[in-house]
Amino acid sequence: MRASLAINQKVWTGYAFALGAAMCFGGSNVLAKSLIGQYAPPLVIACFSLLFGIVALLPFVGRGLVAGLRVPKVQVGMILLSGAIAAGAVISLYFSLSRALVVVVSPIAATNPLVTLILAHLFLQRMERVTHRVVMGTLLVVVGVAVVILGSAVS
Amino acid sequence: MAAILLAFLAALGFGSAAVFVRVGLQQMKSPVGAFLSLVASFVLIAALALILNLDAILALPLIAFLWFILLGLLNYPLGRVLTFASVSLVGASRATPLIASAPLFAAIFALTFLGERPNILIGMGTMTIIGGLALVVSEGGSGARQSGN
Repeated sequence: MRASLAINQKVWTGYAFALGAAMCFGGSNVLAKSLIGQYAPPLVIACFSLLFGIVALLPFVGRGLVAGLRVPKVQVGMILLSGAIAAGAVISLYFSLSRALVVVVSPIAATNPLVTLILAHLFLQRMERVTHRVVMGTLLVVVGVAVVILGSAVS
Repeated sequence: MAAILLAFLAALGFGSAAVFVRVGLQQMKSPVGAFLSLVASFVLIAALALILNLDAILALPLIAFLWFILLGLLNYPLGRVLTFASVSLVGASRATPLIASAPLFAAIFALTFLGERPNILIGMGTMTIIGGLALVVSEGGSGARQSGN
């Protein structure tokens, strides 16, 4: 009995944390749009949010940073490349937010896991399984994006 | 239309960055990898911001920095820590569909704080996207956004 209560509490806590993460990511887009309108251009917002994010992450990385770099240089290069690509993504996202409603931009930008899935399937030795569920989910995402675009054109 | 193209570009960028991260994290611990990735992003964006928007940076009021701190906290440590914590408690296949509901919260917050009023098509499209993502990520094939955000 106690064990099952403990497991339920763990599961509900996990769900709460997941919803909390969703609120953070969703809320950040709204906050970014608000700041772009009030204080500075998108590049400046992106720059300082990254800066303070890095500062806040430093305690989590700590001493492991130096030891963590003792890996093949190719892998460090891949990480740095991902950072460069992500920079372009952040810039695109913030410029998009400066030009359109959050309710239009956020769902489209949030389709990035699908991009990861497709690219990983194509380039990473087909790591990802393509199941009926994945195909159905992909179709739903495509339809959903089309409907959002149509809705933004109508509004 | 430009905004939509930029949003697609953002999705493409975040999605492909995650693929490179997967390759890079084969022997590197993920907090270190995430940190390095952010530093690389910051160096590029800071260089562009200093070149193109130096006047705007110098004119920033102090209160803006408090908001930037909040934005940085939401995007990076808080969102990531909650993601990792939820995945460790309930597993990726249960956690990531919930994390993929971020656009729903974005819509709620936009309605509440920005006064945005999406029409029924945008609302239906958002829910369809969230449903589709939930199906895709629950396979465990890919995680929810990191957000470069």
